[in-house]
Amino acid sequence: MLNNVVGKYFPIDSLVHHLNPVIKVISILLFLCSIFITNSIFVELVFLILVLLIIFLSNISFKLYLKAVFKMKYFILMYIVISLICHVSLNEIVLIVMRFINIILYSFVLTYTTKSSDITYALECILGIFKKILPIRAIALMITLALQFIPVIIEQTNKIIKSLASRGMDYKTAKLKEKGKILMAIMIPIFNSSFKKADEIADAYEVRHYSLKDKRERFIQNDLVLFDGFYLVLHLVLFVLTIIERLVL
Amino acid sequence: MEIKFNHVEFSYGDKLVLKDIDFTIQSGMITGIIGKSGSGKTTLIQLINGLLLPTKGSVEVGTFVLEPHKRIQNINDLRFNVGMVFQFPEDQFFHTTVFKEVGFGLEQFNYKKDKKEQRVSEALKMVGLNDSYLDRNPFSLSNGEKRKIAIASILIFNPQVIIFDEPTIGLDYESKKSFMRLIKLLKKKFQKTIIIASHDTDFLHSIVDEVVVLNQGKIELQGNKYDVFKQEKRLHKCGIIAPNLISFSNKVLEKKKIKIGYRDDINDLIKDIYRYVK
Amino acid sequence: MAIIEIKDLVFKYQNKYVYNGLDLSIAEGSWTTIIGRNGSGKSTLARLLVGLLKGQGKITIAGEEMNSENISLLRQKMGIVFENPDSQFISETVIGDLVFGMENLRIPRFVQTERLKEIVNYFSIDDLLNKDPHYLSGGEKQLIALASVLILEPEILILDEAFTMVDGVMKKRIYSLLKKIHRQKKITIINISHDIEDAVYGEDVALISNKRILKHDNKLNILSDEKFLKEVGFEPPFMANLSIKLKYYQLVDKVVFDMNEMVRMLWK
Repeated sequence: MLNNVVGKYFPIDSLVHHLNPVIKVISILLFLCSIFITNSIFVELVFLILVLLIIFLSNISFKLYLKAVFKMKYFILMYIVISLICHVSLNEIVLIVMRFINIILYSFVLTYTTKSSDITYALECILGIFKKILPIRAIALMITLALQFIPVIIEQTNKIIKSLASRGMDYKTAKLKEKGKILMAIMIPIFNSSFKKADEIADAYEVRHYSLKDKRERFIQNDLVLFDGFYLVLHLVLFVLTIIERLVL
Repeated sequence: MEIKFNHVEFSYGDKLVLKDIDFTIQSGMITGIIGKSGSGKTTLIQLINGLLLPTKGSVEVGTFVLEPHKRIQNINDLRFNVGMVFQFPEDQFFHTTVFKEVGFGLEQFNYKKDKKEQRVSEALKMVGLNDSYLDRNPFSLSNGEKRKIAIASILIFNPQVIIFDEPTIGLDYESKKSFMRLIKLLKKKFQKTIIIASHDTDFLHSIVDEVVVLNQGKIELQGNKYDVFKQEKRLHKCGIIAPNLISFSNKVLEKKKIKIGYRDDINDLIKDIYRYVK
Repeated sequence: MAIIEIKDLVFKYQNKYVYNGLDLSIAEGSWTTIIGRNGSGKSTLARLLVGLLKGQGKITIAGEEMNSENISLLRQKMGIVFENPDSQFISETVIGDLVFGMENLRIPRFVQTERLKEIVNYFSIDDLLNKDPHYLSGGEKQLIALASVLILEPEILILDEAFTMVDGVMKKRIYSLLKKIHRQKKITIINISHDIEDAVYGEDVALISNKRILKHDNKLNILSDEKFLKEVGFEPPFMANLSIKLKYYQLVDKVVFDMNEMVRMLWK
């Protein structure tokens, strides 16, 4: 199934869990920039080692991360096949596959160890500089809700497909053309229930006094400790080294 | 159409949802599948019309045998005979007119398509709606009306077995009464086999013959409704409250050591009480 | 003293009148069950009370008339639990949901911690704290939703068909908690339902029918009026129904709601 586009939050204790979310988001941004800037497989490998280290510190079974990569195997395979057909150099292919893997692993570490409300908070802080010209809280909220919404919509889609199957239109055994018809047919109920759900959630936020403007008093405030500094500096240093490597070579 | 569960197990990934499910549903009876939410009711009923396949054991539905990993050749034949009305059907309409929505199954199963208009009207009549609904948008109807449309859309292709998943949630007294009448009609006049998954024991008590109680994916109790419902402590363990009529008789037994008997109609209970008090 | 006063409420939905002049007065500290059939506009009333919808007429909460300026303030006096357990969750952990409202109201952290401890004890939900609310059972979800609302210490608690998807045993557990809270904190409870059995809890019953409040009285008067209830499409709750029928046979002399009382009365 299409579940878990991003990892689900694991409420356990680990160094990574306790990191300040702003630090974590800035770090992943540095990470992403680095792996896209570089053209060197060696650098990608260094970042892979970084991710593996963070995974180790996250106290979450490595098997789960492997599962995540496995889920994306079709994307990766498809990319490899197309690249081979288009005569892309082997070096380039390895580079891009490593990028895929690095991105997948790091995204999962982030979402396994950070509550979506904390990611929202971090986004709000980082984008906060644009407070005057953009509705920061609204944007951050939209991103979080979108992420939270994905499994809900997927579940609803499954229900609707089963309902269709019970009345004679079975997705699993349908031919390609039929599959297309079915996907078209389910748009109506999916939109309908999505809007209904969105309404209900908006009401829930409103009656629990959520405001798009006022400050909030967070219950868990991840005060900055030495490890936060170390974590951020590590990412910064690697980022700078990546740029240097790229410029020099 | 007899339905047999043979030591069925169902796992979702590595999560065990149903374990050692073994029971038979007799043809022409009304069977209740009871359990609190999360006990596995919905999973169990979806094994009957092939939406899910067991991961161990087998499910026999008439001449169909559903086994692990075995793809059914003519799955539509099974679903034509086993109709399912889902929970909250109001979230699952696909068409913009009641006529198209109710007639959809007819088209898909290629059943009496030439008599579509007639059958749609008849199906609506059975659930208590008239032809004025034909051109209306199902999404614009009230919740009660939506439920009726959903039921009509299954009745229209005349399945032998009809499964209802939590049909009474949110229904008020009058709506429940008319739904009860419909079920009784389907059983008596059309000899349908009816399966209702619900946690509403008062409602089930008024119409079912046999019940199966699920607790965390296993069968905790099964049998005749009186035998099952009187075991209040075990029902309580499953998160279920016994029907009021049974509860009362149990209370009299507990407090006054008098056995006034178990009834499914309040008037019969009154007669019993009268006899024992006088 | 009336903590909620509704005068001449008019509300239209898709060009049809849901109410055409509804009046209702709720006494402070009372527990009122508002009963109505499907489609009678019960949930609309709940939404109007908390200002999610706006109609015409006057809604007064604790002496202040509701308008677009004071709605946020008035909301702080009210807590509402909705019907759908799946649409009330904000966080991926139960703790996150419990503290969400307090975070929004900028309640100081040490107070948040205290209130959290209190509510966890009161509700006995220690074992649920780190779970993801989306994966709880329907009944547990509503339990958490209720806890998240009561942690904000509202004066008025509105339950909008909150028990529709809650199974028997959990329902009893929640009612037990509500009785305790009502007794200890004198909170005003408004329980909106289509199920007449819910009216057995609480003190007063208001019946919505035909776009207005048809009757508003104590529960004994309304729930024992078999004829009236039948006219509006209801039957008395089980024990009351049994009492009424047994009264015909002169086996009992009054209407009771409690099963133990009934047994005692019959076999004195």
